[in-house]
Amino acid sequence: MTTVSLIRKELKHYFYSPMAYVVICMFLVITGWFFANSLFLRREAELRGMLDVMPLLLMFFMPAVTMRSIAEERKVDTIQLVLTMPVREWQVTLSKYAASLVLYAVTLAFSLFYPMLLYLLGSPDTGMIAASYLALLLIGASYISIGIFASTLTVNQVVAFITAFGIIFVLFVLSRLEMLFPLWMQAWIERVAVVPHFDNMLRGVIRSSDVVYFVTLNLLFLFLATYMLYRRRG
Amino acid sequence: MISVSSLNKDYGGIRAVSDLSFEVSKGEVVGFLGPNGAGKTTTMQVLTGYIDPTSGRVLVDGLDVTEHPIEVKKRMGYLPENTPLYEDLSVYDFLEFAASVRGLNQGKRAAIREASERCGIGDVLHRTIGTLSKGYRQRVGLAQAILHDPDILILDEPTSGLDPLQVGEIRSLIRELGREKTILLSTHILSEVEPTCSRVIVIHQGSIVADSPVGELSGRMRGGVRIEYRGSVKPAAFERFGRVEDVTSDGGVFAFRLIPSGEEDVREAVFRFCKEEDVVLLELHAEKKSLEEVFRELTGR
Repeated sequence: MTTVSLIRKELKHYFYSPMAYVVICMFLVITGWFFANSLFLRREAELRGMLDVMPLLLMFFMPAVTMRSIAEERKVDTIQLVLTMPVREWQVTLSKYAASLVLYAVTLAFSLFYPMLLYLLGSPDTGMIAASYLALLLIGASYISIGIFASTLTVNQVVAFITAFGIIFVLFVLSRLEMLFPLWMQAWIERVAVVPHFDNMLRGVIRSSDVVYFVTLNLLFLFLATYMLYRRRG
Repeated sequence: MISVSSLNKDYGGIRAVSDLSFEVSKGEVVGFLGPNGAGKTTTMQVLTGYIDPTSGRVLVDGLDVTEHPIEVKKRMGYLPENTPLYEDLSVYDFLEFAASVRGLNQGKRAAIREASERCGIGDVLHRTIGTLSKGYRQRVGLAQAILHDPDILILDEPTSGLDPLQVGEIRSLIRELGREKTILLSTHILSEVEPTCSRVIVIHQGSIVADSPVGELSGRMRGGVRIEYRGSVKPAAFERFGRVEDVTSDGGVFAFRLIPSGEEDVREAVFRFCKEEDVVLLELHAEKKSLEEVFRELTGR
């Protein structure tokens, strides 16, 4: 119940301000452009063009959506208000995470317009689209948890943004740098990097190892965020 | 009700609060007085369970704050320093949030109505907090603190940054709340404590230097008595009341400062003396020591 109240407050911050609407619109404009690109230029009735840029696009969006979460509360000291109510640290991080996830899910729901367009034009693979959207949800959720963690490190939102971006960038770029590492490390990198897991799911195959990877990433950074918030008790 | 014993709090090797012990019993209104950086806020943050003590114990209603933080927080209302609020929410949304986090589900509307009436914010309920004046913000902070009708109120500098009119309003609100609740409020202004509190704890550099009823402290605060008169009597005649210093004379008008030898107020005796000696009193003014002077006295430096 407490957590639900906290989530409702976070959603008010998003939806009572231009924040949510700017995020949704910008997201649709940018993804729309990539979608239209592959549709009209390559004349292919598929989401591939849009999906391929998503890990990169979300690298900018998610830190922007989450940078405010804890940093701002610490800066204006409202965190003191919340944590002197009967609330535990994990409820604070979880509510921030859940609210950002809701915003992201709403955004994704609007983007379902694109696959719906595909059904008018051809006969796309429903299973693949479903798997792709699950992949989008999972990768976005992971970026959100990283963003929230970064927001606990500083009271400066810009620093939080860049830190989150940096962490995500490392996870993103790892798979492209694979060949630079010794052979024994390559298999390991394959497992840690984000893109291979994401690409696996885009093929329409939902493997438990990929799902477990994303869930672990989420839990890890939520745990770290809660730990950082707890550490402040000194 | 609140019992603090040998409380220590370190911040990165610096001791912010050292060996603090005091008790606050039910129904008391205690002023926590000290200059900025004395450790008032730190102590209050430990009391409210926001931070953990480095060592020592804080019991609220017999419950240890570090072991039962949630239980303790339910019994307390807290107004943090500088009144942090969610600027982008309306007053109503903010109070509604506080009420539901506090678990007031059925009585939520009634609680918000009651708290906003008491704090006089009924007419701004639907305004965005960011557009409110400092005085209103303070009231919103107080409304949030009393929303769940807690037995204990912790108020960190509730009147700082307000204009004199607003200060008066907040003070009378605190006095009214003090009739039924246990209140611990902090301030760095001495005159703040006198009208609202029954007891003062003076804290300096993290330690308690005085813990006494308000009256006693105001006695200590009494400085010299500034006297100016016209008459034939020499200032030395006033030495029966205490020490005479800073004597100036200007054509039969004498002015000096009298430092009384005892604790009691000498002004009445001085007045009677002047009447008997047929001296025309031009000024009789009890000077107050500054807080710094009292601290210097209390800390023996």
